[in-house]
Amino acid sequence: MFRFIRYIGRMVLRALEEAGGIFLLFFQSLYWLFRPPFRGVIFLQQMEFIGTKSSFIVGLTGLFTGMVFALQTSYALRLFNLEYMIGPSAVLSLTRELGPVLTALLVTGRAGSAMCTEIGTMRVTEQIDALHTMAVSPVQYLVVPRIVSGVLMVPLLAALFSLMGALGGYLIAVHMLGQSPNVFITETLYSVDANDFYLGLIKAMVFGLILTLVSCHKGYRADGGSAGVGKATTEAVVLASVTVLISDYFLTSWLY
Amino acid sequence: MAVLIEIRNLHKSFGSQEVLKGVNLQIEQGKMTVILGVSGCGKSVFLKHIIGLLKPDEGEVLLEGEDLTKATEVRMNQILKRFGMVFQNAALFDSMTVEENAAFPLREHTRLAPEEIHRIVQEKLRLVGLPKIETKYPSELSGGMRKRLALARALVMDPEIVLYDEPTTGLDPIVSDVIEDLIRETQQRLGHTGIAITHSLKTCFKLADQVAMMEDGKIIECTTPEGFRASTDPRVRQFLASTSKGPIKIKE
Repeated sequence: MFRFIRYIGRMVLRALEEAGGIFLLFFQSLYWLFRPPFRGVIFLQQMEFIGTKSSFIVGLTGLFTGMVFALQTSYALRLFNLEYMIGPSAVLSLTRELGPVLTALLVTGRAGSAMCTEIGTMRVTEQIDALHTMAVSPVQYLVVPRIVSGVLMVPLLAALFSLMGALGGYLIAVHMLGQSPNVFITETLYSVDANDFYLGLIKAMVFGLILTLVSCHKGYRADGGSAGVGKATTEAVVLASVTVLISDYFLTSWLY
Repeated sequence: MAVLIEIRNLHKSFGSQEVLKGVNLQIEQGKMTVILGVSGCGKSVFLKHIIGLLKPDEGEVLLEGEDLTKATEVRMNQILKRFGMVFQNAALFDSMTVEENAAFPLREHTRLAPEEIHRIVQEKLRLVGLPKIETKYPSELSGGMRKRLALARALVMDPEIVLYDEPTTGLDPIVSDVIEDLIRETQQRLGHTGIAITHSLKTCFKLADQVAMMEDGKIIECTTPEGFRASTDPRVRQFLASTSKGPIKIKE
C-alpha cells in the first residue's frame, strides 16, 4: 500500500517538475524573444523546416482525410436522406477539429521529433554549453526561432489541411456519390462561417506553441548520451501529442 | 603578479552528493593555471562554475572583484565575451563547416564585414596549424584537428581568459604533445590567462605556470610546477608516483 502511494507521489512530483520546466522555458523564450540580436535567417530556416517542408505530407493527409470523411458520413446521412449535409459536415469537422489536431500530430511526428533530437544531441555533445560560453543564449538561439515558427506555421498548415480536405470531400461527394457540385458548395458555404475557420486557426496556433515548446524542452533537458536523446525524443512526441489532444478538449469547450 | 580571478569557498552538491567542498583558488593574470586531479574529483564541475555553466550552492567567483555567480544572464553574456573555452570533446557545431564554426563568435558579436571575418578566421586557423579545410564539416576531421579547430574558435575573439577542459584526453601521445605545444605557444604569444584541467601529469607540466591539485572537492595544493614536484603532501606524492596505493581512494 505504501509502495503504491509512494509511486503515485513520485509520478505527481515528476509531472509537476516537467510542467514547471516547460513553463520556465516558455517564459525564458518570451524574455529572449524581444531582445536583440534578431536572427532573421534562423527564423526563416525554421519556418521552412516546420512549414514548407511539412506542407506536402499535411496536404496529402488532408486530402485523404476529407475523402474518407465524406465517404463515411455519406453512409450515415443516406439513412436519413440528408446527403446534402456531406459537404457541411466534412468541412465543419475539418476546420474546427481535424485540421488543427491532425496537423499538430503530423508536425509533432515530423518536425517536433527532429527538433528534440537536434537540440538533445547538441545538449549531450556540449554544443549548448559551447553556445553559452560564447555569450549566446541557447534559448534565444535555438528555442525561440522554433517556437515562433511553430506558432506561425502550424495554423497555415492547418488551413492547408482543411482546404485539401474540403477538396477531397468534394471529389468523393460529386464524382463518386454523384452529388451536384452546386449542392455541395452552397450547402457548405451556408453552414460554415468565417468564425469556424478562425477558431480552428487559434487552436492550431496553440498547438504549434505546445508541440514546439514540449519538443524543445525535452531536447534541452536530454542527458545520457545517444540513448538519452532517443528516450527524450520518444517522450517529446508522446507528451506533445497527448497535450495537444487534451488541450484540444479544453479549447473546444472554451472557444465554442 | 595580479590576481584576475579569485574563487572563494565554492560549494556544490548534486542531490546528496557533495562535489565541491569549499574550493579556494586564485588565478593569476597572464599565467597558465593547471588544475590537476583524478577523474571524479570535481575539476570539471569546478571549471563549469568559473564560466557560469553551473551556479554554486555557496561561495563566490570574483573576476576583478565582480561576483560572477550573482551576475544576471544579460550581464553574464557581456562578461563571457572576455572568455574562450575549449571543450573536452571540442563541442563543435556539427551543422556548420570549419570556417562557420570558427567565425561563429565574430558573426554573433561583431559587425565586421564578411571579408574581415574571413581574414581573421584564416589567421586563427593558420595560428592553430589547420590546413585549407574551411569547407569541411567537423565529422570529417580527426580528433587532433577537432581540438585545433576548437582552440581556433576559442581564440577568435582574442579573449583575455581561456579555459581548457581536458585538452589532451582522447588523443594519441604524439598528437597530445603537438596540442600541448600549440596551447602553450598560443598562450604565450597572445598573453591570455589560461585555466586548464587535466588528469595527465605530462600535460600539466608542459602547460603550467601554476599547478593546483584538486582532491575530493577541495584544492589541496597550489604552487609552481617545481614546488608541486617537491610537495610532501602524501596525496600529491601518490599522484606523482601514479600508483593506486595511497590516501586517494578511487570510488568505483
